[in-house]
Amino acid sequence: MSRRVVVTGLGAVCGLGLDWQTMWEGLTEGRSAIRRWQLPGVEDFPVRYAAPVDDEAFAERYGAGEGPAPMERRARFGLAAAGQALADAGIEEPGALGRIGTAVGSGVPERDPYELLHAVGEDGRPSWQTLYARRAQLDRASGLFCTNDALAAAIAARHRLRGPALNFSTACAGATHAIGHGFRMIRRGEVEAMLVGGADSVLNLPTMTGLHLLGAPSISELFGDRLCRAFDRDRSGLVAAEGAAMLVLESEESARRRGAAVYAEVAGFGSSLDAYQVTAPHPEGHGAALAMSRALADGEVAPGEVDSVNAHGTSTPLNDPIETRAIKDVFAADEHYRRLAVTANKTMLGHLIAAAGAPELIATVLSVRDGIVPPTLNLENPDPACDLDYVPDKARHQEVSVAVSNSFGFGGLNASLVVRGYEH
Amino acid sequence: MTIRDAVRLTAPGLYTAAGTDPGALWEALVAGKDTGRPAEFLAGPWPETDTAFLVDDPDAATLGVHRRVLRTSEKQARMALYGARLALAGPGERGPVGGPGWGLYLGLPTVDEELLRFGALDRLHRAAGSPGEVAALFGREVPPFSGLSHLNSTAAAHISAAFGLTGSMAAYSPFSDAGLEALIDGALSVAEGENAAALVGAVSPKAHPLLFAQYEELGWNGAVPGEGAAFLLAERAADGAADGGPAARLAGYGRAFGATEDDRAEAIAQAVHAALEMARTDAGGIGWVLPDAVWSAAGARAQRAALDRVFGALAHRPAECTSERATGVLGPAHPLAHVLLALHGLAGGRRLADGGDGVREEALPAPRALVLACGVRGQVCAVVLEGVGK
Repeated sequence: MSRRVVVTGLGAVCGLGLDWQTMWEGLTEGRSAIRRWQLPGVEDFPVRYAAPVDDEAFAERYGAGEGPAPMERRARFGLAAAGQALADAGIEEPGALGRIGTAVGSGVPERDPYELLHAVGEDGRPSWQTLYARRAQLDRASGLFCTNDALAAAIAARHRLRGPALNFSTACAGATHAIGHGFRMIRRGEVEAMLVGGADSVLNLPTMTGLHLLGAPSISELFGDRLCRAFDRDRSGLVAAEGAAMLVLESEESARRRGAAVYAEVAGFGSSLDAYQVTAPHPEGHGAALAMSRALADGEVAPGEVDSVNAHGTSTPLNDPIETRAIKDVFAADEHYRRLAVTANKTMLGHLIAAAGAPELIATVLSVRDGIVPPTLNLENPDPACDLDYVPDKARHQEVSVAVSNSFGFGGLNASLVVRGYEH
Repeated sequence: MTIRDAVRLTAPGLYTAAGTDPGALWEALVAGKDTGRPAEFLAGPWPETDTAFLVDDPDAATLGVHRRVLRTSEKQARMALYGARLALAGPGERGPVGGPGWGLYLGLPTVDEELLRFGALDRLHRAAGSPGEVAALFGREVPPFSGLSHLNSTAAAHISAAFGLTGSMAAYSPFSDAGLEALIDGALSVAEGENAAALVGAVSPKAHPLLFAQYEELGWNGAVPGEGAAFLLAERAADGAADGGPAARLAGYGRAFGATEDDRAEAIAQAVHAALEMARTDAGGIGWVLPDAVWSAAGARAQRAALDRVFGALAHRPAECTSERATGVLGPAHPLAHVLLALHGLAGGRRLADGGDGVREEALPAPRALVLACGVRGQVCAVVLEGVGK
């Protein structure tokens, strides 16, 4: 069985806003969520910019009880986005659709930096025995207890989904893998619908320390909140963000049966491995090109049909020229890459790490629906090695019939999705 | 073509406390061999546990990699890499490994280990009132590659780099269902033409005192932890059995979710029925059941209730056996270790039956085995494996 798969619901929580409409408005208006940021009480942490979710606004809108406490930050964002997406799809009782499941991408659990202090005894000496005796004092909302399948299980439990509940761990490609596999499950007839996406928050001391020690985030102060400079000569690293985005994917038959509005069609998914180095992407972009080519082949879409690419575009020294090269390889026929509108949403959203592919797919879906390609901000001094049309500064109104969305994870774990305008 | 006809499962690579191949595990279970080890590092902090089924941490020479790989990996990733090597370097001839037709599907636990060593805790204690000083301490003391070694998916990067796998991939986490999800989607990737072959594997978490705090919170029933990795190859059936090793078909699968204990029993039963239906058989066609080594009391009750629902009406229920006596509980690797045991049994027409006081070997009455995985939060998977015959 091979069925068409359509997008019927969207939900997002990110630095640009607490719903997908606000996020899309921000992206098309060229607003950035990146701002000066610090870890609570830490004034001299080397990383000084990020795209956090507005805590007060989130609490006001969703309340403290959005998740069955205790729950990690990322999971609370994810539950909120999942509820939004189902409501947006007009699905009140998911079970009524038939078999429906969920798949999410998540990253490293959010650990409490102080948890080991419980191991320090009265004599000042640490031991596991002391931690055992005091284990009731450990933070139940930390990643130690909120294992990274907790969000998928919480979504499935809250919305009474009886289909598969999967958690994908493929670093920065996690959400795109989750969406791609959800798409495949519907296409082959395994389920009727899937609630798919990702949630992540790395804006905590343990994870940010790990990322900083790898040299991943920018520590520059030269550009202020214009720090995320994908494809620019002065780019210096990613700008971390947090949030979640979820989409309702549904078989075309199911959507038609209940008269649901369709945003777009998910046409193809492809993944690959670099098989190169854990610390760097393949220098010629082989893995990235393979993921895009496979997604196009999976959707039976010719490269020449593609109008836009929502790039991974991290603003890191390595990713951007390598992704550019991969795009040029995939769209080499007739130099079609010259006609592509390439956009880097991370210049406005920041990098949501494992969740990144989900809000970026929503932007891709809405690009196709609305005929608008969001801009790549802060592209002031183009890198000669990055010589595509990146839609600098302002959104562009143009027809987008087919678009590709890329996510490339640490260690060369790659995934791409193809979105097509829906025509019955 | 169906997944049953299109895909062959072969090339077992198993690394557990019972040894480095399914035959050794089989023998250990039948002989009642004590494969546990004293685990002093667990006995103190977790008084209920003084032994565990531990394995040696593979070194660079064993793994066939440069020593720098050790800096960006944790023991979990190294166990996985060793399991992959055992699968791909098994007996017999296989054509070249790697390239764009070779995919990778993994079930991975999270890496639950302390970021700061105990030696730094006195300084953390002194700095606790000052977030700035704590941050500076983390900057000095956290290992430089922790961002990679504590990221569970780094295991996929190491395996792909070691064997040149650039095909389609996915990785799931963190509990036992992740292992069977990897098997199902890896086999589907071959059946649907995405990969010519998919290396499928899963690894256990490293036994660590912090793990027990997590397990207790999730309803731990006192099951003994084990370490290890289980890998196999899903390849096109049309490519034939190059190495002459044991092989099987993935005849059917099912996956579902149940939030409460009652829901979970129903979900497991539904997953089993879906797998049976896809395998074009019924409960009577199953010769052997390998239930999950469920380590929560609620999960164990749900699995038992589900098996009673599915097989309760049969005059002769299929024998059941888990590898837990010789491997401990292996997390994501557990159901895949069971798949490898099933391959071994299906190839020889034998099965293992756990009679409570020990495990005995019997003739396999029907050439199909059912393997279950029950994630601790309610995610469930079932697969039906079928012998390929001669």
